[in-house]
Amino acid sequence: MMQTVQRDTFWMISLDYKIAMYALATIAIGVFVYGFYRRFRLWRKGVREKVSWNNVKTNFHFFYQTAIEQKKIKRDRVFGFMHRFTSYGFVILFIGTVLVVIDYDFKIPLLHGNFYLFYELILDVFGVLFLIGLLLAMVVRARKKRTRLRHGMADQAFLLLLFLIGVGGYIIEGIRLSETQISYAVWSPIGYGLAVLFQDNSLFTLESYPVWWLTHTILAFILIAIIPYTKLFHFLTAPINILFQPVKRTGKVGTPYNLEEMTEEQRYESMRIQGVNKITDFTGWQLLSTDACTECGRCDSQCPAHNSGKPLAPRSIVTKIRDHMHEDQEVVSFIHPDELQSCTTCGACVEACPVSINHIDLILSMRRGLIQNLVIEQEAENTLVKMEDQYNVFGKPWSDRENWSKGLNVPVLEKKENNKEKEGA
Amino acid sequence: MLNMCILVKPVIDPDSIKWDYQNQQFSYINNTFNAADLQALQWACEYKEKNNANITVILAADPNMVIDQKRLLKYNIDKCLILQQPGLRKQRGETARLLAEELKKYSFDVILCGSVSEDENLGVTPAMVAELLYIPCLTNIFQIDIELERKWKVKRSEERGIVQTYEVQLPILIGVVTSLGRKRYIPRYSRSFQTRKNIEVHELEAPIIESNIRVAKISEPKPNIRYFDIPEDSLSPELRLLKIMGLAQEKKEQSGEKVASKVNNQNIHFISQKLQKWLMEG
Repeated sequence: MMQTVQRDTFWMISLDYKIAMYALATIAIGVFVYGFYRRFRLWRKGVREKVSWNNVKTNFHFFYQTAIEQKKIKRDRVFGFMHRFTSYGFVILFIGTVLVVIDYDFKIPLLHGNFYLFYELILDVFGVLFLIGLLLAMVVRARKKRTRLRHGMADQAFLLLLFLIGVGGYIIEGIRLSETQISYAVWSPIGYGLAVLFQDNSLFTLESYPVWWLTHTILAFILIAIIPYTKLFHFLTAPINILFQPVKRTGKVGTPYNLEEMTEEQRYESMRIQGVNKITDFTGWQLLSTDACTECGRCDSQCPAHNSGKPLAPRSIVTKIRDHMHEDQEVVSFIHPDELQSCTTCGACVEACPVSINHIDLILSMRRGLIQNLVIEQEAENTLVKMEDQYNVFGKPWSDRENWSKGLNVPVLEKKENNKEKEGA
Repeated sequence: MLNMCILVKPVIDPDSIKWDYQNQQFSYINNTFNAADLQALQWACEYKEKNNANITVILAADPNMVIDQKRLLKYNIDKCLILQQPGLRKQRGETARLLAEELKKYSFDVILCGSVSEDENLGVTPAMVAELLYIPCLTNIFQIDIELERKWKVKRSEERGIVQTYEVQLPILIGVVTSLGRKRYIPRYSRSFQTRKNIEVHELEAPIIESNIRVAKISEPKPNIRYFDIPEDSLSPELRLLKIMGLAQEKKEQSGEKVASKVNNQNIHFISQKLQKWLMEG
């Protein structure tokens, strides 16, 4: 009799376990949704910034380079492999799980026949890449060679959790293939190899299968539940940020106004020039971008101000905004003006950031707020006062403006009677 | 809550103004406000930020005087009165009387202004206003400390580093100097929209009583015409150049022998010789 090639979801799983799984799934998804809503609500409190379709279209190519090709992460060779393996593996395994849900829970038969065999092969291969990537990450972190990384216990714990989920998947597949002896088991090469190993092994038997299955399920649900509460949230926010964030590329300093488009009156009355004084003064997209931070520290490692001992750490700026988002405090209560004033706006941090956070945009927004509150570096303030009084940064009398041309026979185009109008420096 | 009044004098920026010898008139006229008055206003705004106060700014000016209102918009003021009095330019001594008459209509706890104005450096108006209002007046104040709401401690510096400290009871007129505080940068856009609504222009029509003092003429300072020796050929190029440029001749230019304040034939001769020599050198 010919075997039907199809996925046997919930193989050897009793009704009790099924109910337990659905109950846990409901809880995990509920916790996830609440966590997401909690942050979404905070993003919504920010100033609304319209994202045009043109922005998204422009971002597509950037998205391909940054999120799929991962060009920025590839600059660190080992980390490049690590992150591509892990992220590609995670995405493929996630899609695989979604297909299972569609196939089983929505009763749309997808996983059968040749497609199912191909599905098994792909998932097995990407599962291996996923685990290799995680191992690389754990080794790199354990060796503590990269000074830009923060070596917290939580970082290793996240990697371990993902690793255990990946390994758990293979174990339950191995037991299933070992026990069922199906003819197309070779399409799951890793699972098949494990099935051969598990033969006559008392730990990986039909009896222990539900325990392994439940453990895998619980770990997977723990992962789902904690995503919006940890830096793993970047799984979701980083692609959104890269794709939908209004285009603010490296080197382009964003301004909330365009002086060329404003009349003289509007320049004086420009209420549109908004600075950030408290969290809700940021735009929603700026707030979302801070949730995309993976704390990788590439920005810090490239920042000339940080590397020369100035009190600025671009990563801290981002994480401080993220961590204080729920309080809607005055920005100066958790970010010192010196940090903001140390930025040279060189753009090295923005260029280095793999999730497209625009640190300069955040810093300049807050600097505008500082100026509104008259918190301004003294030398810069003196310069502004001089500009206001004499229209030049040196504070030299306006009438000395043309002194440089004396004796050079420079023709003066301006009519004499017009020289009452003050000219800028 | 204190009612504060700041007297602000519109002036032409003395740093930028120049006499145009060719056209015999002033050029580079930059209409601004007396720096010490703005310092007083800035201090009042800072006080208001911390302690709450009502700030009224009063200006008196000739209608021909351009008042750059934009410069005032950034301050957190509740009211701004601009008194335009025809003929005030010629009768500047009348400013105090105008201001005092306006001030009598209100009850201010303190009147702040600069001790002297940048353009005339007389320091008469504050004292006269105080006299006309029968309130005490202290000028040259560089520090104000608030003891109680209506009891302040103010400091004025005298010569040789002597500091006088006064304990004053409001109401009072206080004339300040620019060292009252650091001049701060205040963004124009922060309050301008609201402040513009608070500006009132009062056009006064009553003629000013003719005074015995009047401005007779405004003219340029006499130039110091410098004339130099015609360098002899025997001198080294360096010394010749120094002679032509008029350098290293006298340490004090004004007291040098070769400085004349009048144009005469002799000076013109020397200057023409100098120019010719200079052109030949070129």
